[in-house]
Amino acid sequence: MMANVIDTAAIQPVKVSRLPKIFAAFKAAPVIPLTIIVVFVLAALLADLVTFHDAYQVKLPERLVPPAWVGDTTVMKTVSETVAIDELEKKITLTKASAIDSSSQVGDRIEVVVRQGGSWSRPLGTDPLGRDILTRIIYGARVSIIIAGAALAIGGGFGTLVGLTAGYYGGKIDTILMRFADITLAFPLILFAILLVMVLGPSMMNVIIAISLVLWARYARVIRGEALGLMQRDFIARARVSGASDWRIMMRHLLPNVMPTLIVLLTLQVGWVIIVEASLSFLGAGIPPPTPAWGGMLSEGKEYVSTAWWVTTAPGVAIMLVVMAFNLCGDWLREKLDPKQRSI
Amino acid sequence: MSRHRFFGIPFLIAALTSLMLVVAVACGSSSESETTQDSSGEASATSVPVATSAPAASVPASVTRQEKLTIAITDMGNETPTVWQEYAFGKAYMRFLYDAFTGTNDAGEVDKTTGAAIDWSMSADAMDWTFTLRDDIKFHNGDPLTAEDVKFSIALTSSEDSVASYAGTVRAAIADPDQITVVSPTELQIHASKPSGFLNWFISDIQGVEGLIQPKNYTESVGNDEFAKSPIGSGPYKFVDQRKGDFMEMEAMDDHWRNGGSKFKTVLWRIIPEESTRIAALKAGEVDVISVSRERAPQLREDGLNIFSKEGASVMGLYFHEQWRDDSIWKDINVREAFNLAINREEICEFVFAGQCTPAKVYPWPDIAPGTDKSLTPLPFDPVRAKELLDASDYNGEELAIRSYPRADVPEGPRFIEAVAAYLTDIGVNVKIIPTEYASYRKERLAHTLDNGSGYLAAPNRPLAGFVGLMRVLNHSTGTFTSTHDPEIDRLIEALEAGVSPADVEAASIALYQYMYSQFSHLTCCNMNISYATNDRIESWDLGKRVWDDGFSNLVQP
Repeated sequence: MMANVIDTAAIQPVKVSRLPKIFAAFKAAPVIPLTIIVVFVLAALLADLVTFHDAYQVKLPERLVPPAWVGDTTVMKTVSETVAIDELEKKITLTKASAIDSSSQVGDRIEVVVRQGGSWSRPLGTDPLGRDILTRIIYGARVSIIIAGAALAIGGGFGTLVGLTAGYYGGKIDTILMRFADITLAFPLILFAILLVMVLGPSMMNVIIAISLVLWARYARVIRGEALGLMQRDFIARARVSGASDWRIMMRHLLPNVMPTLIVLLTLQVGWVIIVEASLSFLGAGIPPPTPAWGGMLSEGKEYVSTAWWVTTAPGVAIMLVVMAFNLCGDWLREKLDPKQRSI
Repeated sequence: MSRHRFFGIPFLIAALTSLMLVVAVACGSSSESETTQDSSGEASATSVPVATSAPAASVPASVTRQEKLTIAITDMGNETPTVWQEYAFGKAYMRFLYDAFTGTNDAGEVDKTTGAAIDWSMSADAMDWTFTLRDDIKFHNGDPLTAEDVKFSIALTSSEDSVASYAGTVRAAIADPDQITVVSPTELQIHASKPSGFLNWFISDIQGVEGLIQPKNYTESVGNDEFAKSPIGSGPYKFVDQRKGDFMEMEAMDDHWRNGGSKFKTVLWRIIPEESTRIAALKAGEVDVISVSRERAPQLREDGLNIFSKEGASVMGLYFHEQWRDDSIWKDINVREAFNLAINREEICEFVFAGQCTPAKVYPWPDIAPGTDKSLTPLPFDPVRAKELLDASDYNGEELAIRSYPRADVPEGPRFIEAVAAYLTDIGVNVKIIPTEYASYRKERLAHTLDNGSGYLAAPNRPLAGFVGLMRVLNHSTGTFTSTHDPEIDRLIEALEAGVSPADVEAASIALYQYMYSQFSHLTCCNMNISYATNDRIESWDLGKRVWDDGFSNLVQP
C-alpha cells in the first residue's frame, strides 16, 4: 500500500476573516447606549465643527428663548388704557409683552404674547444670558470627557498600581496600603472633593485632582483582590523560579490578567466621575463659569425651573443619558469579559 | 422557591420604604400642625393652645399679638450678634436685639426719640460733644442701660479686632476710648480726634451696627465667647436660639420702650440662599417675608403675593482692588476707563435686572443720593473706544479674577458677573470668574490680597452724613476696605470730613464725586430697586431709608 503523501508545501494558509469574530462580539452589544457614547465622544472631540454658536457669547436680548418646538406663550389680559406711543417721550420697555393688537379698546380681553416661541436656529433654546444651550451641552461634553479621562487615568492608574503592589507583596505592605484605601473610602466623597476644591480653588485641574484622590482607592481594593487570587496560580510561581523581577511579574503577568476587570471598572466609573463632576459644578466647587459644564448649567437654571424649564432639563437629560449609557455598556462588558458571568 | 426569593427582597424593600415614607409624612404633618396659623395670623385650633391667642399681660389691650413672623433672607452677615463681631449685613436682625446710642427714623435722619440719647450738643469747633441718655432703658437681664455701657460699646466697636463695617470711621473720630468721659449714668462727653460735625451719625444705627449698645457688666461677667452665644441687648426682642447658617429665633419683650408690645411674639430669621426655595417656602406658608430678585418680583405680584420695593435704593458697582500696587492693571487710568466703556449698562438693566434699574454714574453714590453732581451722565457703551484705550494702556493680558457670589440684596449677582465678564472678554481682557461666598471675598478685601481682582457690591443710598463716614472706609488710603491710594481722593475725603455745615459738606461731596467720575475709580453700573415679597399677613411695610436694614423693625411695630 502506498501511503498518502501530503505535499505540505502545497498547503496554503486559509485566510480567516476576523470580522465575523468582531461582529459576534458585538452581537449582543447594547446598541443604543453605544450610540449615545459614540455621539458623546464625537461631540466632545468635534465640538468646534458641529456647533454654529459661540458657547461663551453672551447675548442678553436673546435670553431664555425656549426650545424650537415650543410656541409663543400667551396670556389673556384686559386693556386698561391706551396710550399714543408717538407722543410719548419716555421710552417704553416691554419685557413681558411683545405683541399687542393696536385696535384694542379699553375693557377688551386680548391675548398678549409674553414670550416668543423657539426657533430651529437655537434648537434647545437659550440660557439666562442668551447663550445657546445645545452648543454649551456639546462643549460641556468635552469638559466631562476630559475630566473623566484624566481622573480615571490618574486615579485608576495609581489605584491599579497600589492594588497590584498590595496583592503581590501581601503582609505589612498590603495592610498599610489597604488601610489608606479604607480611610479614603470612609470619607464622604462629595464633602472631601468640595473641601479639596475649596482649598485649592475651583478649576478643571483641581476637580481632576480631587476626583482622582478619591477614585484610586476603589481601584486599589478591587485590583488587590484580583491580584491575591492570581498569586496562587502556577504561572506566577514559574515566573519567580525563572528569575523575573517583582516589577516584571506585576507588569507582565499580573496586569494583563486583571485587565478585563480593570476595563469593566473603568467603564462603570466613567458615569460615576461625570456625576461627581456635575455635582461639584452644581455646588459651585467645580468648573468655574463661564466654561460650560453640565452641572454648572443645571445650577444656572435652577432659579428658572418654574419659568424656563429647558435651562435645567437639557443638561439634566444629557447627564442621565451619558451616565446610563456608560453603566449599561459597563454591564455588557462585564458579561463579555467575565467567564463566570458567561457560564451562567 | 426561587420565585419566592425573587419577589421577597423587593417586596421587603418596598414595604420598608413605604413604612419610612408614612413615618416621615406623619412626622412632617405633626410638626407643621404646631406652627399652622390661619390667615389672620392667630393660632388655629390645632396649634399650640392658649398661650398663642392670649396677649401677654403687659401688652397694650389694643395690640393683638400674633404668634410668629418668619423672615427668610439670603444671609445675615456673620450671624454673631455682638456689636464688634457683626457687620452691616447683620444689622437688620441686630436692631431687633439692641438699641442704638443715637436713634434714627425711617426718613433716614437722626432722631432723639428712637435711641438711647435724648439730647446732644456740639461745640463750635465740632471737637466736643455732650450726650444725655434716657434713664428708663433696661437690658434683657434687667440691668439699666447707662453711659458706661455706651462707652464700653464704642470701645468694642472701634477696637482693632472689630469687624464692624464702619469701625474705621468711628476710629477716625474717636481714636482712643479714653476720649469718652462718663459724667453720670445718663451723661456722656466725647472729645473728638478731629472736627467731627457728624459724630452723632457715626454712632447711630443709620449705617452699620456701630451705634448699637451692648451691656458692659454682663459682657465682662460672662466673657466675649459666651456673650456671643447668648447675647443680651436692650432691643424689642431678646435672643432665644440660633443655628448658624440656618436660623435665629427671637422673642418679643413684653413692653419695650421703643416698640411697645411688638406685633409678633416670636420672630424667626431663616437663611435660605436659594431664591426658588425661598419662593416655594413663601407660597407654602412656611415663611412670611422673603427677599426677592428684581427679575422674579413682577411674576410674584401676578401670583397674588405682596411686593414691597425701595426704588433706586442702591448702586451696583465693581471694585478695582489694590490700585496702588505696581503690578496692578488698574494703576493705568486708560484701563479703568476702558472697563467702564466696555459694559452695556442699558442692556444689563433691561435683561439682568428685569428693567428694574437704571444706568448709574459714580459708585458708591446712587443717582438719588445727596451731594452729587446731577449734570453728569452715565458713561456710554463704547466697546470700540474701550478696545483702543486698552490697546494704548499698560495692560498685557494679565488675568483679571472677578469674585462671583450671591447676596441677599443681589440674587442676580452671579449672572451680572458673567455678563460683565463677557463684555470685558469682548474687548480683550483676560477674565477669570472665581465662584465664592461674600464672607470669603470680604476677608480678602480686608486683607488687601485682591491683586488684579474684582468683586461687586450694591452700595445702598444714605444721608449725606452716611457718605461722610463711608468714603473713608471705601476710598481713603487708610480705609479698611479701600481700593485706592490717591492723594487727591484722600484730600477730598478729608475736606468732606472736616465740613461742619451741611452746605460745606455737600460742596465737598460734589467735588469728590466729580473727581471719582473723572478717574473711573470703580466700574459703576446701575441704580437698583430692592424688593421683598410677603404673604397677606403683611399689608403695609415702609422699608425706610436706613442703610443695610430695609425697615424690618417696621414689620413688628404694633
